[in-house]
This record gives sequence, C-alpha cells and structure tokens, in this order.
Amino acid sequence: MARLAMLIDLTRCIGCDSCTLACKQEHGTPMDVFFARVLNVEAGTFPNVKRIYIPVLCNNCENPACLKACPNKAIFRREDGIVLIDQERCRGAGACVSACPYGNIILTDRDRWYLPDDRAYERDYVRPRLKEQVARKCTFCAHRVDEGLEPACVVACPTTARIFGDVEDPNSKISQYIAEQKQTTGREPFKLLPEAQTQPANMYLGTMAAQEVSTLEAPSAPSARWEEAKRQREPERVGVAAGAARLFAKITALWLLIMMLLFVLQAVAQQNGSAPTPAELYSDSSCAGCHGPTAMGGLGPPLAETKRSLEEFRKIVREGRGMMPATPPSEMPDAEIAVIHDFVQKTKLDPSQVPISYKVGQWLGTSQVTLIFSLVTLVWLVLTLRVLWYWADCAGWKQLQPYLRKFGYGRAMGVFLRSLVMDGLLVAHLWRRDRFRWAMHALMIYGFLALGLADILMSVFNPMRGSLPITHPLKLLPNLAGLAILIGIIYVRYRYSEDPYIDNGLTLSRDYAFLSLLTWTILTGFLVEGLGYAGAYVFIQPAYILHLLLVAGLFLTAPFTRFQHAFLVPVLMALTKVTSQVAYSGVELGFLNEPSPGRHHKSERIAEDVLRHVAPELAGKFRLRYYP
Amino acid sequence: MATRHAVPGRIPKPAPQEAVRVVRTTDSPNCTGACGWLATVVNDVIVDLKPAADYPCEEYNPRGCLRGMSMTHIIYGPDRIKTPLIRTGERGEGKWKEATWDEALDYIAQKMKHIIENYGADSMLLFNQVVGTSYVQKGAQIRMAALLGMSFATAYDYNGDISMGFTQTLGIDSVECESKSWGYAKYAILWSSNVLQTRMPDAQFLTRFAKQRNGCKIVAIDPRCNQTVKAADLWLPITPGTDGALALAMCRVLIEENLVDWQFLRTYTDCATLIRQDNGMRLRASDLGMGGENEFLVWDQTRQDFYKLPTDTLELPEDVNPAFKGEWTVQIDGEAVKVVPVYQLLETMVMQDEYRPERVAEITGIPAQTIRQVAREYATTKPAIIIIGMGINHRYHGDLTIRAILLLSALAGNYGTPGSGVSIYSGQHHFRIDISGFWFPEGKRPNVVPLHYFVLGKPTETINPKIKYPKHGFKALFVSHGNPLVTEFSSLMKRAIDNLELFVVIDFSMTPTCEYADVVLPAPTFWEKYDLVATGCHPYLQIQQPVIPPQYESRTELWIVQELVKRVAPELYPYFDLTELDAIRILLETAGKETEGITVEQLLQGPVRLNVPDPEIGLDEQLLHKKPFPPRAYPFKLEQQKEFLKTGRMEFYKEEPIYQQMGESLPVFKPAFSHLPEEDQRLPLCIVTPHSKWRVHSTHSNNPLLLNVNRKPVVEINPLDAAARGIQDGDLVEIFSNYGSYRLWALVTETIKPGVVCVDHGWWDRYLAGGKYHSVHTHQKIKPTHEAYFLPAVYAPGQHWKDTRVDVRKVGNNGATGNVD
Repeated sequence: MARLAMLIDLTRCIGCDSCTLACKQEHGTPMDVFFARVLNVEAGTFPNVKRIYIPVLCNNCENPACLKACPNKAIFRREDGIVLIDQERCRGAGACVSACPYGNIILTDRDRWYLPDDRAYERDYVRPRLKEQVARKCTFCAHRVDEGLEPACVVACPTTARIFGDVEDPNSKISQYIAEQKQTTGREPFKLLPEAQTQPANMYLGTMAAQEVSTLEAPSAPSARWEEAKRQREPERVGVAAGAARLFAKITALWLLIMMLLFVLQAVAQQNGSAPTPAELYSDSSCAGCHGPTAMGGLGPPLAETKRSLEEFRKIVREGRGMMPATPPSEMPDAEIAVIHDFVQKTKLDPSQVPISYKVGQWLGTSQVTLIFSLVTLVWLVLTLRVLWYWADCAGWKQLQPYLRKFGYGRAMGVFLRSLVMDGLLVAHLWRRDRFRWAMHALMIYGFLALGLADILMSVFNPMRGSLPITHPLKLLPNLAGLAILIGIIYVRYRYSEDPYIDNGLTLSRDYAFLSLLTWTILTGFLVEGLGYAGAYVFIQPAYILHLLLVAGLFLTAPFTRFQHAFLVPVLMALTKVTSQVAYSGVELGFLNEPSPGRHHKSERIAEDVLRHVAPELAGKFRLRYYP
Repeated sequence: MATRHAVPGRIPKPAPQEAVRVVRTTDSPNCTGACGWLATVVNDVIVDLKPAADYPCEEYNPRGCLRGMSMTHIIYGPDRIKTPLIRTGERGEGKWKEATWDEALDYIAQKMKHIIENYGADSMLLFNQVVGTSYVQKGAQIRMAALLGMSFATAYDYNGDISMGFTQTLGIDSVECESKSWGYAKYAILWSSNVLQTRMPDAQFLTRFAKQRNGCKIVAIDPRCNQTVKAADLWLPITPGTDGALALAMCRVLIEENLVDWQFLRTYTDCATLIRQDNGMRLRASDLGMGGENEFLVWDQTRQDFYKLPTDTLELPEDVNPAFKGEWTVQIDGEAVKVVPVYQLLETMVMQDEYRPERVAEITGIPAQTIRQVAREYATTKPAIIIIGMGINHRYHGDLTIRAILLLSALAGNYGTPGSGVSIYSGQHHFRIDISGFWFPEGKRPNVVPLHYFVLGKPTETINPKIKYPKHGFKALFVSHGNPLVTEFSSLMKRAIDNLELFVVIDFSMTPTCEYADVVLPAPTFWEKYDLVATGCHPYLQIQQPVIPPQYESRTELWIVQELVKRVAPELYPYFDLTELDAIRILLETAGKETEGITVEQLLQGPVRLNVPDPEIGLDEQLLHKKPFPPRAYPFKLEQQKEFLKTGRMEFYKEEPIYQQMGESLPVFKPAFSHLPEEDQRLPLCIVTPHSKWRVHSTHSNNPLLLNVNRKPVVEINPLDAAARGIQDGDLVEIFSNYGSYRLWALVTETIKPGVVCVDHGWWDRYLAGGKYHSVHTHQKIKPTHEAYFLPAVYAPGQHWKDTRVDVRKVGNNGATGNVD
C-alpha cells in the first residue's frame, strides 16, 4: 500500500503554466481540455492588491465524490491512491463533472483540435490517445508512475514547486519536504475544501512573500469597490426573477409538506377492525389465515364470541377493513358468511389461546403501517435531501448562484427539469450509447415506477384491497412490474459476477447491500402473492411483514447505497447541463475564457479557500483572471 | 519516455511498441532561457518534450517552460511555411506563387546582382534578430554579409534592449550575473523586472533559493502588480518614468545617513577624478604635464598632491587616499582652472531639493519613509542585488535612470559577491564567446548600420561618422529570425520597406512580416537544425540538434546562404563549403579562453560549462581581479570600448560635449515624456507593453496551444480609469493616440496603477479586434548622446517604446464581440 500525493509549494510557484502545458503535452488533450491548470488570483483593491497562483490538479481523493457519483463504475481507485476514470468504461454521463467539488473533471461534447488534419503529429500521435465523449481528468500520470517516473507536471515545473511521492513513507521526498519545511519555514501543509469531505491527497504550502505595498495612493474603499462589482454582477431584472424563483421553491416545499401531513392524517383516520364461524368451513376459509384456525386470533383479532351482528359482519367481509381485504360474493357467498358468523359467535373465547402474534398483528393495523411508512418516507426524504445537498454543494451550487442570477433562474430551471426528464426518466443518455443497458435500466426504473403507480391506482380503484383475479389490470400491473425488476436484478447479479469493473475500490459492499435488499424485497413480494394464490393463508402475514421490513430497509438505506444513483445521477447530470449552459451563455466572461469552461465557480471556491489560508483579510475580495 | 500511453484503465493495455529515439537539444528563441530538452521521436515525429534536466550544476535543473513545452504546435503549426513563396500581387496583398528553391533563389540572386552593380553591396541590409541565440545559422548569414560587403543591422539597439546607461557607466551594454547568483541574495530589488514571467527557468533562484533558503527580502518596483510582485515582500507601485528620481532620492539617503561605501568608490569608480570647471572635461595627466591624454588625476589627501590613476589596474596603493570633496585650482596653459571631484558634483546634485525624498515621493508616488527604508536596507544588507527590467530602459531617458541606479549600487558598494551587483537581462544579445572566427572571416565585417536609420529613411544630422549610411540608401532588406512588422514602429518600418527593390523574409511561420515580403523562404525551426547557443542567464554552452529533419521544403539558413553565394559570388563559395558542425568546430577553436578544451563531442552529450568563474557574479574580472573597466564586449576589442570609458572606472560623469550640452553629464532625472510633442504629452494614460509568458516577443503569438490558454489580447486598465470611460470588464475598447489606434478587449483590474494601461508585447495584428498592433507609437527619435560614439550594439542608439501616451475608449459591449470561440 502506498498513498501517492503531491505537495505544491506556493512560495516556489511562479504561475508560469508550464505544468498546464506539460500536462497537455503528456496527455494529448484536445482544445479547451486542461487536466492541470493554474488559478490566477488577484485579491484586494489597488493599491492593496495581492496576487496568488494556485496550481490545481486532480486531488486523487481518499473519498472521491466523482467515484461515488459515477453511475457506471468507470471511476476507480487504485491501491496507490490514484483515482482514474476508465476510458473504455466511461459512457460520458457527466455526473462526475458536477460531483467533483474541485472542478477537475472535464467532459466535452466533441473534441476540437489545434492543428490541421495533415499534421501527422497530432493526427497519428495525439488524437488517438484519449477517447472522445468520455469524462477525463488528471491521472497523476499513472502511466508514468507505473514506470517509476514522476508526473509530467512535476518534472516540468521549472521551480520545483511540486513535490511528489508517497506520504505513507516517511523517507519519501514529499514526507521529508513536509518535515523540513515545518522546521525551517514553519509552514504546515493544508488541503483544499476540507468541508467537501473528500480527503484530497494533494497538499499546499503557503506563500512566504509578504506582498506589502507602499504608496502615497489613497487606498480606495475596498468594500465599496467590491459591492459595486457585486451589484454589477446582479442586474435588477434578474433580482425579480430570483425572488420569484425563491418564492416558488418555498411554496413547493410547503405544499409537499402539507400533502404529506394530510396523507398521514387520512391514514390515521382510516382505523378500526374485527369478525365471526362454523368449525370446518371457518378453518378452510381465508378468515383463518389471520384470525387463527380456531378463531382465537392470529395476526388479526380473535373472532370467538364476536359481538357483531351478521349484517355488520357481512359488511366487513364484503368491504374489508383496515388491512383486511374485501371479499366478493364469488369467493365467499352470503350463506357462508352467515355460517361462519354463527360459528365464531358460539365459540368460547379462551384468552390464554389468543396468540402473541395477535398483539403484534393488532398493532400492525393499517393505520400503523401507514404511519410507519409515512415515517420511513419522511426519514428517507430527509436523508435523501441531505445527500442531495451534499452533492449540490460539491457541484458548487452556492458559487454558481451569482451566475445563475444573471443567467435567469427560470431558464436554469427549464434546463434542469428537461435534463431530469431526459437523462433521469428517459435515460436518454444510455439510449444513445447502449440500447441493452438502457433496456436493463428501463426494466428497473419503469418497474419501480409501475409498482408505485399500481399502489396509487389500487388505493383509488380498490381502496379496500378486495382480492382481484390475477388477470385484473390492477393485479397485472404490479406483478409485471415486479417481474421486470426481478429480471433486472437477475441481470445485475449476473453482471456483478462477470464485470471486472464492478469493484471500484470503495463502494462494493454498499452496492451489494442494495442489491441484496432489492432482491429479497422483490422475492418476498412475490412470495406474499404466491401464498395468497396457494391458499397458504397462515404464512401470508409473516411474509408480508418481512416484505414490509425489507421495503423499509431499502428506502432507509437508499441514500447511502447504490440505490442513490437512481436519483443522484439524474440530478448531477442536470446540474452539469445547467453549468455548461451557463458557461456557454456568455453571462460571465470568466466562464468562457477559463481553461475547460464551466468550472470557474468551483475555481472561485478553491481560491477563496486558499486565500483563507494565505490572506484571510482578502478572502471575499478577489477574482480569477485568465490573462497574466 | 514515449508518451503514447492511454490513460491506464482497469484492464491493462500494452503501450504501442515503436522505435523511439530520444534526442537532447536546446531551445533558444531569444527568451534567454536556452533550456535543454529531451525530445522523444517516433517515425521522425516529435511525440514528447520534457526538460532535459541534465545541467551538471543541480540548481539549474530542470529549466524549461510552457513555450518550449508547446513547441510542437509551432513545429507542426498551422502557419508553417511549406515552400518558398514569391509575391505576385502588391506587397501585403497576400497573392503568392509557390516556387521551387531554384526559382526563388535565382530570383533573389538576380536582384542582388542588380543592386550590387548599380548601388553597391552596402545597399542590401541584413537584419537577423538577436544574433546571440544562434552562433551558426545567423552567423552564416552575417558571414555572407561580411564577405559580400552588405550592410547589417544589429537588433539589440533597435529593439531598445541596449542599455546605454550601462555603456555610459561601465563601457559595456549590459552586465549579467548568472542566475544562480540570485540565490545568494539577502535583499533583492526587482526594478521593473518581471523575472517570474520573463525568466521562468531561472525564477527559482529567487523563489526557491533566495527567498526560501536565504529569507531574502524582495522589493518590486513596478506600476503593475505584475506576476513577480506575487513573490515580493514589498511592492512600490511607481509612477512610470520616475524611476530615476527614486534612485537619486535613495542615493541622497545613503549620503545623508553616512551609508556610502567609500572604499568601493575609491577603487571602482570615477568619483575621485577631477572635473575642470572651465570646460567640464576631466582633468587629465597631460593637462598638468604628468602623463598622457587618457590618464586621469585625483587629489591624494595623504600626499596633498595630484595622483595619477593607474590604467592597468583598479588597485590603488594603500596609502593613496583620494579626496571625494573639495576644490582645487590648477594652472593649465597658463590659466587658473578650478577642479572638483566627480563625487562632489554628484553630492551637490542629489542634495538639491528636487531629490529630497519628500519631493520625490510626490512624483513617484512612493512615500518618503519607504524611499528611506529601502535605501537603508539596500545599503546595509549584504549581499543585495538589483535586477533591472526593460521597462525603465525602453525610454528616451532610460539611460539616465540606469545610470542613477548604478550610482545607487556603487554608493552602497553592494558588489563583489554572489547575490550582489546590478544585472540587466536584455535578451540573448550578449555574446558569451568571441564569434569572430566564424562570423568575420579574415577580419572582414559587414557595414553595420543601426536599423533606426533604415526606419527613418535617412541618417540623422547627429549620426556618428563611424556609421556608413549607404550612398544610395537601402535597396534590399533581408529579415531573418525576426518579425519587425509586429513591433511598435511597424508603420514607419513599412514605409521604409516600400522604398525597397527587394524584401526577403526567412522564417518558419507566416508572420505579418512575411506577409509583406517579396520572397518568403521557409526555414526550419530550432528543432530541425544544428546550432550553437549560449545565454547570459547561465554559463552553459549547448548545441542545438536537428531532432527531426527540416519539415516540408524548409532549408537551413546555412544552406540558403551557400546557395545564394553560389549564385551571386561563386568565388566566395569556398568560405561556405562547410557543415554546421564544422562551423561549431571553428567557433570552439577560435573563440578564446571561454571555450578552451570544449569539443563538439562533449556538446553532443549535453551542456558544457564555459570557462568562466563559478558562480559568475557579473564584472568578475573587475571586482575580483581589479582589472580596469570595461569588461570585454564580444566580438570587439577592449580598445574600442575604452574610447567611451576612458577612465577605466565606473563613470558617473560623462565629459563629452554632447552630454554637457544636454545637461546629462551627471545622471540627473529628466521627466519621462518631456521629449514628446505637446499634444502627445496631453494624452491622459501612459501605456506599457511588457513581455508575457505566452510569447517570446512575437514568436508563439500564433501557437494554437498557447492561444488556447491566453485566448485574446487585452488592455489592463484600473477600475477608476475604466469607470471614467464607462468601460466594463471584457468590453471591446480602442487604444488611440495622435498616431493611430487599435482595438482589443478591456481587462479591468486592480493590479495596475491608475493612469497606466498595459498591453502584452508581441500580439500579431490578426488577433486584435482591429487596427495595427501598437500603432499608437510611431515616432522614431534618436537621443543625440547615443550618437557620440558608435560600436555596434555596444554604444548605439537605444529605443523608447515605453514613452507613449494614449487614451482608451469603449467601442463595444462586453459579450458582443468579447468571446473568442
């Protein structure tokens, strides 16, 4: 094991961009694609102005956001700590582009090149090196490292500002340099954006130049100057749009909350339940499944000594109550009901025979189950939002705001929603690249959606859950959906066993956790169905409870397992789309003039972070420039 | 080191197996870097470039920068000239006929013969930029010019890089310590020098060695918070053109606070020499019948008598105690003449109220207390170095400024150890070795005429008689390794070219200069031919190797010269019947002690240190061995230089009548723009045109790779100036003066002083939004003191690009045309 890392000494760095160009040379990257770059920061106002250069490259994080965001396991982490995007594997979804909080991943629609087509140099020796339309980033020059060489940017740095090596080895160049600098210059290395929790490998040492200024020039009021800049960045008309958008978001959230509360209240309101006998008929009936073979109760309440009249009894059977499904005359004629009612009424209730399961079952009334699932949903929602918030933060959502204001929130929302539908719901991206994989995704996604839909339809058209023939559309839909998911799972399991890319070095156990939960959820779902058809009523209830438990587990773990990619990837892809639209809209010169347009806002975040270390008083008053 | 690997994936893929060649060469396009590179070559295509990092002195490694790194995109660049081209339309119209070499050479030769017969060979002018970058290929062209008797225009003076302040004070146009010496400094003043951008491979001697290892305090003097200020501890945003006043105020502080190093003045300077008050000339031994015309007297306080300074050494006997102050009367030719020491004059000058720090603070914008503090720190911290950049030299009164800075350094006596002295890095003009053996066969030299006179179209009235302006004027111009139509005087230059019968350009890229040529000859890049290179920044002699064969139809300059000589003067061909390696051998054998023992075979292995002191501190022979000034400026003889440095010491007093007439005998301060016409002085902004990291002058301007990072030309402007003109960041703006205008984009930035705007040097016109690059500066003016003597590129007219005043106006909105795709 090793932990390769790079230390960048900002005192030595002269901002010459040799690393930028050495990297282009080494990787043969196309136009506008820069794996290594140098942020050129000017901070403060004349004359109290400072300059700082911040070389940035892939941080090869220990907890890489990109890797976790990749829907396709194309990103993996090697034993030496290098995080790579497998060019063969990547399908260019672009989730990682937004996920990387440092803006170090680049995905371009089409590669553009520098030289005429007849130049053998580029045509034969450069262009073929990188695959088009896949996500790309700095590789720490893994191919050189494998040959025992240092990365190109390290060997090309004319001021040896980059120190490379294994931080776990105390004798390595990098470890020694850190120790030596601590001693001689008292500088401690720091890492970028610790709040992103990615645990970067790369470290920075602060600049030693005091950068004081001495002049008779009257200091301009810095705050006023930067306020002015800010004001210019947020024109008035966009202010209105921003307000409207914010209001809209608040109303939507409130509405969702109210709807959820109503749903819970309604479920609580739908309470109550109970029922009757004659011995043989009774014990063969579906009643016995829940109310016990001797009517002393099971998961359902005991029916012995029922106080209900036949009319009440029949009504309950016909219409169902709580979890108890409605039973049509075709399954249980009125006469049979009367017999059963008579039987249970006459049976003596022996409290000692009432099984413990009744107490559980009684508690598991429809209202409670609904309540529990409402809670589960709520927890799921909170966790999911938290996870989404984390990723939105990685995507630089906050830093993007000023540019979005300029771009227009409405317009951004449009791009976002369109992408959610296209990339999320329709998986259009896969459709273009790999129809088979699209089909497999479709099985799962539409299977899930159909299950949800079936549930809703059932509540609307068969609220009492009366048993339905298997050919009934309300039965057919969930069963087919389940089947689709099942096929999907079988394929995924097959793929997991065959696919060399499946272990990305970080998430495999979580991936399997999800897969197992999903498998068992679907299997128990079918088990419940099957038991019903087989008439093994006694087993239905426990199987059903198990199924519910699995569903709850599936949802509660969803934000942390592979499940998350179902909602996270579309959101990240949509964010990527929004960012790139903003970049190319020309609302901010910086976006377009920077290397690899679209990461300006993340670079600003990095600059702010570094300034906090080297010139805290200027942390909010800086800008990135793309000219020397 | 082949780099055709793809990104390693989970499933390993073998790298393509190919026959790989790795060649060590040197890239030396007049950036002063002269960096070693390892090129990986597959099938005669360069596929990878990495710094060679093979300098025996570990501190020099790795060298290299982004421009060397992206040479592939010049070598294989879109503007590469593939075949000889002969103009078919009007000049600059862009109509060409692709020609064979025979056609092109025959055409040129026939024109040459015609000119030689009708006007004389000296009517043909050769201008190949900064000859120090290429001892062989450029040397071959000069060898031809020498043998044919052509005129030759040195570039160093025309570029304005010649530091006349140095020549006037030290008898040599520039002094440089090797960059390794910077690393020893404990105090460094970067006077308008942006070394972090302009000397990238050497910058680590400041950031890594001086700063990090030595805790050196770095002071940057510049109107811009430039890239180097990033590494500075103290930044003095000076008002452009007032640097001389600042230096003199600092001199005054040294005098006021008794920080003057008398020992240094005594040994190395003319401060004790006596000046006659009747005619302003120096008191000579011959005046008092004590010796010769070029022997000078001081007043020895020990003996209470005049003492004749030795001419063969700087060393004075210990008991000689020359007076720096006082006044004596001597009888010369029966007349009583008052004499005073130079120092007395200097002190009187700087003690005038105008050099009081409080007064200087007003014009420079630097607080008096800072002036005092920096002066004090500079004088008391040893070693302390001053590095001068071209910003203060490219001025009409740049020589005065530099003389004042040299005075400051002499008063402080900060000399003689690594990390001290004053260095000015002004391109690879400086010859490291005597190249005469190859360039000037049998002592024959071309007729050197500074390009200024070509551009002016006629000699000035004050032209030095040693300059032989051709009788019939110029009829042909050969430009090689240069792009003069992208410089600041391009419109004047074009006008001069319009009068020519033949304008030949030799280049590898189709530059704006090529576009105006009659014949364009395709040359190989530095990577396709042999040469021998050296630089002032480090003392290694290196060979440049053909990493790949000359691309397309390009041919080396030596080959072109051979073919032309065959056609024009076949009798001279034997002089050219050699290969590049032969030429290198000749140079190594004849260049003198610096190359003694160095062989081509050694050079083919890697860099070889010249036989120079280690480390070179600049002025080594004078400071360490007390040899009189000036240090030798190759390829000239010391006697030639002594003509303008007769005392053999650092001269802070110039006695020549023209200096006296102009009031410049002493390094006074003269306001920067005072020589401009009234209407120019009224323009509100001054403009500076510094070098950027993206280009070496105009080379790499068209490098698509660098353009991808650099994107478009901008003018840096302070928000206050911008607001006053309604300009926002990214707006399309026009820079204009009374001479012209051009359009580009605004970069509204806090890093520039109000009242100053800045455009990077070297943009080709096609990248501008309109107009001609830097056409706002179109007056060519020669300072008469620069014509007092003439020694090519040593004592020759300088240039004043930075003395330009302009205004800026908005012509378009941000975004309208602002975004380059």
